[in-house]
Amino acid sequence: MNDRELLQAGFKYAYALCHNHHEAEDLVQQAWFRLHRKYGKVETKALLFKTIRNLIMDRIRRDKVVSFESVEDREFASSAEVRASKDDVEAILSGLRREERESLYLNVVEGYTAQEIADQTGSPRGSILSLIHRAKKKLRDGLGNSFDRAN
Amino acid sequence: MVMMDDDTLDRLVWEYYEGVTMSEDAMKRILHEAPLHTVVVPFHRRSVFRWTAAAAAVAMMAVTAVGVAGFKPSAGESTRLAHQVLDVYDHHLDPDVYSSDLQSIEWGLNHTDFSIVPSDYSHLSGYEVVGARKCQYSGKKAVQVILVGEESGKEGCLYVLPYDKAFDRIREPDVWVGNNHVSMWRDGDRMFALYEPGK
Repeated sequence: MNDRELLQAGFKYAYALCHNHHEAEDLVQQAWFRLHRKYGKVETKALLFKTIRNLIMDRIRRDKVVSFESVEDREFASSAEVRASKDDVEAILSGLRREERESLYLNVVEGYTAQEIADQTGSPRGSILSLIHRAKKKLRDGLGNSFDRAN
Repeated sequence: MVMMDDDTLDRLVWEYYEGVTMSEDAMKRILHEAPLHTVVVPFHRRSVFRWTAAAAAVAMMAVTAVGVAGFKPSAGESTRLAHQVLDVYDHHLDPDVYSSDLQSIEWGLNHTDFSIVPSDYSHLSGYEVVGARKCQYSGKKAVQVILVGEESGKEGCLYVLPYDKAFDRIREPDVWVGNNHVSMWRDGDRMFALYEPGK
Protein backbone atom coordinates (compact mmCIF):
# COMPACT_ATOMS: atom_id res chain seq x y z
CA MET A 1 0.00 0.00 0.00
CA ASN A 2 1.56 3.29 -1.04
CA ASP A 3 1.28 6.60 0.81
CA ARG A 4 -1.69 7.84 -1.17
CA GLU A 5 -3.62 4.62 -0.54
CA LEU A 6 -2.69 4.74 3.13
CA LEU A 7 -3.90 8.33 3.38
CA GLN A 8 -7.21 7.49 1.71
CA ALA A 9 -7.70 4.49 3.98
CA GLY A 10 -6.88 6.62 7.00
CA PHE A 11 -9.28 9.29 5.84
CA LYS A 12 -12.16 6.83 5.40
CA TYR A 13 -11.54 5.41 8.86
CA ALA A 14 -11.34 8.87 10.41
CA TYR A 15 -14.53 9.81 8.61
CA ALA A 16 -16.22 6.67 9.93
CA LEU A 17 -15.27 7.79 13.43
CA CYS A 18 -16.30 11.45 13.30
CA HIS A 19 -18.52 11.72 10.19
CA ASN A 20 -17.16 15.17 9.45
CA HIS A 21 -15.06 15.79 6.35
CA HIS A 22 -12.87 18.59 7.76
CA GLU A 23 -12.32 16.88 11.09
CA ALA A 24 -11.42 13.65 9.30
CA GLU A 25 -8.81 15.45 7.19
CA ASP A 26 -7.44 17.13 10.28
CA LEU A 27 -7.20 13.82 12.14
CA VAL A 28 -5.39 12.10 9.28
CA GLN A 29 -2.97 14.99 8.94
CA GLN A 30 -2.16 14.99 12.65
CA ALA A 31 -1.76 11.23 12.71
CA TRP A 32 0.41 11.26 9.60
CA PHE A 33 2.74 13.93 10.97
CA ARG A 34 2.90 12.28 14.37
CA LEU A 35 3.99 8.96 12.81
CA HIS A 36 6.55 10.76 10.67
CA ARG A 37 7.99 12.41 13.77
CA LYS A 38 8.18 9.07 15.55
CA TYR A 39 9.20 6.63 12.83
CA GLY A 40 10.17 8.75 9.85
CA LYS A 41 7.35 7.25 7.79
CA VAL A 42 3.94 5.61 8.02
CA GLU A 43 4.57 1.90 7.88
CA THR A 44 1.23 0.19 8.24
CA LYS A 45 -2.47 0.87 8.01
CA ALA A 46 -2.98 -0.65 11.45
CA LEU A 47 -0.59 1.84 13.01
CA LEU A 48 -2.21 4.74 11.17
CA PHE A 49 -5.67 3.63 12.33
CA LYS A 50 -4.45 3.27 15.91
CA THR A 51 -2.97 6.76 15.86
CA ILE A 52 -6.14 8.26 14.40
CA ARG A 53 -8.17 6.46 17.03
CA ASN A 54 -5.95 7.73 19.83
CA LEU A 55 -6.26 11.27 18.53
CA ILE A 56 -10.04 11.22 18.43
CA MET A 57 -10.20 9.62 21.87
CA ASP A 58 -7.98 12.43 23.16
CA ARG A 59 -10.33 14.99 21.63
CA ILE A 60 -13.36 13.31 23.15
CA ARG A 61 -11.72 13.27 26.56
CA ARG A 62 -10.67 16.89 26.17
CA ASP A 63 -14.04 18.14 24.95
CA LYS A 64 -15.89 15.81 27.32
CA VAL A 65 -19.25 16.54 25.78
CA VAL A 66 -19.99 14.57 22.65
CA SER A 67 -23.53 14.64 21.40
CA PHE A 68 -24.95 12.11 19.04
CA GLU A 69 -28.32 12.43 17.47
CA SER A 70 -30.29 9.29 18.14
CA VAL A 71 -31.13 7.35 15.04
CA GLU A 72 -34.62 6.81 16.42
CA ASP A 73 -35.26 10.55 16.36
CA ARG A 74 -34.73 10.84 12.67
CA GLU A 75 -37.19 10.35 9.89
CA PHE A 76 -36.27 8.13 7.02
CA ALA A 77 -37.86 7.40 3.72
CA SER A 78 -39.54 4.02 3.81
CA SER A 79 -39.32 1.77 0.79
CA ALA A 80 -40.58 -1.70 0.05
CA GLU A 81 -37.67 -2.27 -2.25
CA VAL A 82 -34.06 -2.91 -1.40
CA ARG A 83 -32.97 0.47 -2.64
CA ALA A 84 -31.41 3.25 -0.70
CA SER A 85 -29.96 6.57 -1.65
CA LYS A 86 -26.55 7.68 -0.49
CA ASP A 87 -28.27 10.39 1.56
CA ASP A 88 -30.37 7.80 3.40
CA VAL A 89 -27.31 5.73 4.24
CA GLU A 90 -25.38 8.81 5.30
CA ALA A 91 -28.21 10.06 7.52
CA ILE A 92 -28.46 6.73 9.30
CA LEU A 93 -24.71 6.26 9.64
CA SER A 94 -24.27 9.73 11.07
CA GLY A 95 -26.95 8.93 13.65
CA LEU A 96 -25.15 5.82 14.88
CA ARG A 97 -22.99 5.89 17.97
CA ARG A 98 -19.33 6.39 17.15
CA GLU A 99 -18.47 2.93 18.46
CA GLU A 100 -21.17 1.34 16.31
CA ARG A 101 -20.01 3.17 13.19
CA GLU A 102 -16.38 2.31 13.85
CA SER A 103 -17.04 -1.40 14.33
CA LEU A 104 -19.31 -1.51 11.30
CA TYR A 105 -16.73 0.27 9.14
CA LEU A 106 -13.82 -1.92 10.22
CA ASN A 107 -15.89 -5.07 9.73
CA VAL A 108 -17.67 -4.29 6.47
CA VAL A 109 -15.25 -2.02 4.63
CA GLU A 110 -11.86 -3.06 6.00
CA GLY A 111 -12.84 -6.70 6.39
CA TYR A 112 -11.58 -7.05 9.97
CA THR A 113 -13.07 -9.84 12.05
CA ALA A 114 -14.73 -9.00 15.33
CA GLN A 115 -11.70 -10.42 17.13
CA GLU A 116 -9.33 -8.20 15.15
CA ILE A 117 -11.47 -5.15 15.94
CA ALA A 118 -11.51 -6.19 19.58
CA ASP A 119 -7.72 -6.42 19.57
CA GLN A 120 -7.42 -3.02 17.94
CA THR A 121 -9.92 -1.18 20.13
CA GLY A 122 -9.34 -3.00 23.40
CA SER A 123 -13.00 -3.98 23.73
CA PRO A 124 -14.23 -7.55 24.29
CA ARG A 125 -15.19 -9.46 21.12
CA GLY A 126 -18.73 -9.84 22.46
CA SER A 127 -19.11 -6.08 22.70
CA ILE A 128 -17.86 -5.66 19.13
CA LEU A 129 -20.33 -8.27 17.85
CA SER A 130 -23.08 -6.48 19.71
CA LEU A 131 -22.07 -3.11 18.22
CA ILE A 132 -22.03 -4.50 14.68
CA HIS A 133 -25.38 -6.15 15.24
CA ARG A 134 -26.95 -2.95 16.55
CA ALA A 135 -25.49 -0.83 13.77
CA LYS A 136 -26.90 -3.19 11.16
CA LYS A 137 -30.27 -3.31 12.85
CA LYS A 138 -30.50 0.48 12.88
CA LEU A 139 -29.55 0.58 9.21
CA ARG A 140 -32.17 -2.02 8.32
CA ASP A 141 -34.83 -0.29 10.35
CA GLY A 142 -33.85 3.11 9.01
CA LEU A 143 -33.93 1.96 5.43
CA GLY A 144 -37.40 0.58 5.91
CA ASN A 145 -36.44 -3.00 5.29
CA SER A 146 -36.24 -4.41 8.75
CA PHE A 147 -34.63 -7.78 8.53
CA ASP A 148 -35.77 -8.47 12.07
CA ARG A 149 -39.37 -7.97 11.10
CA ALA A 150 -39.08 -10.18 8.05
CA ASN A 151 -40.93 -13.08 9.54
CA MET B 1 -41.97 -8.14 0.71
CA VAL B 2 -38.37 -7.56 -0.27
CA MET B 3 -35.98 -8.09 2.62
CA MET B 4 -32.49 -6.81 3.06
CA ASP B 5 -29.95 -9.50 3.83
CA ASP B 6 -26.53 -8.95 5.33
CA ASP B 7 -24.77 -8.97 1.95
CA THR B 8 -27.02 -6.23 0.57
CA LEU B 9 -26.60 -4.16 3.69
CA ASP B 10 -22.81 -4.62 3.61
CA ARG B 11 -22.75 -3.59 -0.05
CA LEU B 12 -24.62 -0.36 0.74
CA VAL B 13 -22.19 0.51 3.52
CA TRP B 14 -19.18 -0.41 1.42
CA GLU B 15 -20.42 1.67 -1.54
CA TYR B 16 -21.09 4.61 0.74
CA TYR B 17 -17.57 4.65 2.15
CA GLU B 18 -16.09 4.01 -1.28
CA GLY B 19 -17.48 7.40 -2.22
CA VAL B 20 -15.88 9.08 0.80
CA THR B 21 -12.50 10.37 -0.30
CA MET B 22 -9.95 12.83 0.88
CA SER B 23 -9.58 15.88 -1.35
CA GLU B 24 -6.62 15.96 -3.68
CA ASP B 25 -5.46 19.27 -2.21
CA ALA B 26 -5.40 17.92 1.32
CA MET B 27 -3.54 14.82 0.23
CA LYS B 28 -0.89 16.82 -1.63
CA ARG B 29 -0.45 19.14 1.33
CA ILE B 30 0.04 16.29 3.81
CA LEU B 31 2.46 14.40 1.57
CA HIS B 32 4.39 17.61 0.87
CA GLU B 33 4.68 18.64 4.52
CA ALA B 34 5.27 15.20 6.04
CA PRO B 35 9.07 15.21 5.50
CA LEU B 36 9.27 18.44 7.53
CA HIS B 37 8.02 16.47 10.53
CA THR B 38 10.45 13.61 10.14
CA VAL B 39 13.07 13.11 12.83
CA VAL B 40 15.77 10.53 12.21
CA VAL B 41 15.67 7.87 14.89
CA PRO B 42 19.15 6.37 15.39
CA PHE B 43 18.05 3.26 17.20
CA HIS B 44 14.92 1.43 16.27
CA ARG B 45 13.76 0.47 19.71
CA ARG B 46 10.72 -1.33 18.44
CA SER B 47 12.87 -4.21 17.22
CA VAL B 48 13.48 -5.11 20.87
CA PHE B 49 9.76 -5.25 21.44
CA ARG B 50 9.28 -7.34 18.32
CA TRP B 51 11.64 -10.03 19.62
CA THR B 52 10.07 -9.87 23.06
CA ALA B 53 6.61 -10.19 21.56
CA ALA B 54 7.70 -13.11 19.39
CA ALA B 55 9.20 -14.91 22.39
CA ALA B 56 6.03 -14.26 24.38
CA ALA B 57 3.89 -15.59 21.53
CA VAL B 58 5.93 -18.79 21.36
CA ALA B 59 5.65 -19.19 25.12
CA MET B 60 1.90 -18.60 24.97
CA MET B 61 1.51 -21.19 22.21
CA ALA B 62 3.47 -23.71 24.22
CA VAL B 63 1.34 -23.10 27.29
CA THR B 64 -1.84 -23.30 25.23
CA ALA B 65 -0.69 -26.53 23.57
CA VAL B 66 0.00 -28.08 26.94
CA GLY B 67 -3.40 -26.90 28.16
CA VAL B 68 -5.23 -28.31 25.13
CA ALA B 69 -3.35 -31.59 25.38
CA GLY B 70 -4.46 -31.84 28.97
CA PHE B 71 -8.07 -31.54 27.88
CA LYS B 72 -8.24 -34.47 25.48
CA PRO B 73 -11.89 -35.38 25.14
CA SER B 74 -12.83 -38.54 26.91
CA ALA B 75 -15.10 -41.10 25.32
CA GLY B 76 -18.13 -39.55 26.98
CA GLU B 77 -20.59 -38.09 24.49
CA SER B 78 -21.38 -35.14 26.74
CA THR B 79 -17.68 -34.30 27.03
CA ARG B 80 -17.25 -34.72 23.29
CA LEU B 81 -20.10 -32.34 22.55
CA ALA B 82 -18.89 -29.86 25.18
CA HIS B 83 -15.44 -29.81 23.62
CA GLN B 84 -16.90 -29.40 20.16
CA VAL B 85 -18.84 -26.37 21.38
CA LEU B 86 -15.69 -24.90 22.88
CA ASP B 87 -13.72 -25.64 19.71
CA VAL B 88 -16.27 -23.82 17.59
CA TYR B 89 -16.24 -20.91 20.01
CA ASP B 90 -12.47 -20.79 20.05
CA HIS B 91 -12.32 -20.34 16.30
CA HIS B 92 -13.48 -16.78 16.84
CA LEU B 93 -15.29 -16.67 13.55
CA ASP B 94 -17.81 -13.93 12.89
CA PRO B 95 -21.52 -14.56 12.42
CA ASP B 96 -22.77 -15.14 8.87
CA VAL B 97 -25.94 -13.29 9.81
CA TYR B 98 -26.45 -10.53 12.36
CA SER B 99 -29.86 -10.40 14.02
CA SER B 100 -31.39 -10.65 17.46
CA ASP B 101 -34.31 -12.67 16.19
CA LEU B 102 -33.79 -16.42 15.80
CA GLN B 103 -36.55 -16.73 13.19
CA SER B 104 -34.86 -14.06 11.10
CA ILE B 105 -31.52 -15.80 11.53
CA GLU B 106 -33.04 -19.02 10.18
CA TRP B 107 -34.18 -17.12 7.12
CA GLY B 108 -30.85 -15.38 6.76
CA LEU B 109 -28.83 -18.59 6.95
CA ASN B 110 -30.86 -20.17 4.13
CA HIS B 111 -31.91 -23.78 4.67
CA THR B 112 -30.72 -24.83 8.08
CA ASP B 113 -32.74 -28.06 7.63
CA PHE B 114 -33.92 -27.72 11.21
CA SER B 115 -35.32 -24.95 13.33
CA ILE B 116 -32.95 -23.17 15.65
CA VAL B 117 -35.74 -21.62 17.69
CA PRO B 118 -35.97 -23.35 21.09
CA SER B 119 -39.39 -24.18 22.47
CA ASP B 120 -38.26 -22.75 25.78
CA TYR B 121 -36.27 -19.51 25.96
CA SER B 122 -35.49 -19.73 29.66
CA HIS B 123 -31.96 -20.97 28.99
CA LEU B 124 -31.23 -17.77 27.08
CA SER B 125 -32.44 -15.33 29.70
CA GLY B 126 -29.82 -12.70 30.41
CA TYR B 127 -28.35 -12.99 26.92
CA GLU B 128 -28.67 -10.86 23.82
CA VAL B 129 -28.63 -12.78 20.55
CA VAL B 130 -26.39 -10.95 18.06
CA GLY B 131 -26.16 -13.38 15.15
CA ALA B 132 -25.27 -16.87 14.00
CA ARG B 133 -23.13 -18.86 11.64
CA LYS B 134 -23.30 -22.30 10.12
CA CYS B 135 -20.88 -24.91 11.36
CA GLN B 136 -20.54 -28.68 11.55
CA TYR B 137 -20.63 -31.40 14.15
CA SER B 138 -19.27 -34.79 13.10
CA GLY B 139 -19.72 -33.82 9.47
CA LYS B 140 -23.34 -32.78 9.94
CA LYS B 141 -24.83 -29.30 9.68
CA ALA B 142 -25.12 -27.34 12.88
CA VAL B 143 -25.63 -23.70 13.79
CA GLN B 144 -23.72 -21.59 16.27
CA VAL B 145 -25.77 -18.72 17.68
CA ILE B 146 -23.64 -15.95 19.16
CA LEU B 147 -24.83 -14.53 22.46
CA VAL B 148 -23.62 -11.62 24.55
CA GLY B 149 -24.39 -11.36 28.25
CA GLU B 150 -26.70 -8.38 28.78
CA GLU B 151 -24.95 -7.37 31.98
CA SER B 152 -21.54 -8.99 31.74
CA GLY B 153 -20.90 -8.28 28.06
CA LYS B 154 -19.25 -11.70 27.92
CA GLU B 155 -19.71 -13.76 24.82
CA GLY B 156 -21.41 -17.15 24.87
CA CYS B 157 -22.85 -19.37 22.22
CA LEU B 158 -25.80 -21.62 21.63
CA TYR B 159 -24.99 -24.64 19.55
CA VAL B 160 -27.96 -26.19 17.70
CA LEU B 161 -27.84 -29.46 15.79
CA PRO B 162 -30.20 -32.22 14.71
CA TYR B 163 -30.68 -34.88 17.35
CA ASP B 164 -28.58 -37.97 16.80
CA LYS B 165 -28.81 -41.38 18.44
CA ALA B 166 -25.31 -40.87 19.78
CA PHE B 167 -26.69 -38.20 22.09
CA ASP B 168 -28.66 -40.90 23.91
CA ARG B 169 -25.35 -41.68 25.57
CA ILE B 170 -25.18 -38.25 27.18
CA ARG B 171 -25.25 -38.89 30.91
CA GLU B 172 -24.10 -35.53 32.20
CA PRO B 173 -26.05 -32.53 30.80
CA ASP B 174 -23.76 -30.04 32.55
CA VAL B 175 -20.06 -30.12 31.80
CA TRP B 176 -17.33 -27.85 33.10
CA VAL B 177 -14.20 -27.42 31.02
CA GLY B 178 -11.91 -25.32 33.13
CA ASN B 179 -14.00 -22.31 34.13
CA ASN B 180 -16.32 -22.69 31.16
CA HIS B 181 -19.74 -24.24 31.48
CA VAL B 182 -21.61 -26.14 28.77
CA SER B 183 -25.20 -27.25 29.37
CA MET B 184 -26.94 -29.61 26.95
CA TRP B 185 -30.57 -30.51 26.45
CA ARG B 186 -32.81 -32.22 23.93
CA ASP B 187 -35.60 -30.22 22.35
CA GLY B 188 -37.69 -32.48 20.09
CA ASP B 189 -35.57 -33.53 17.14
CA ARG B 190 -32.77 -31.13 18.01
CA MET B 191 -29.93 -30.93 20.47
CA PHE B 192 -29.03 -27.65 22.11
CA ALA B 193 -25.76 -26.89 23.86
CA LEU B 194 -25.20 -23.58 25.63
CA TYR B 195 -21.66 -22.42 26.24
CA GLU B 196 -21.20 -19.89 29.02
CA PRO B 197 -17.80 -18.38 29.63
CA GLY B 198 -16.16 -18.68 33.02
CA LYS B 199 -16.76 -16.08 35.65
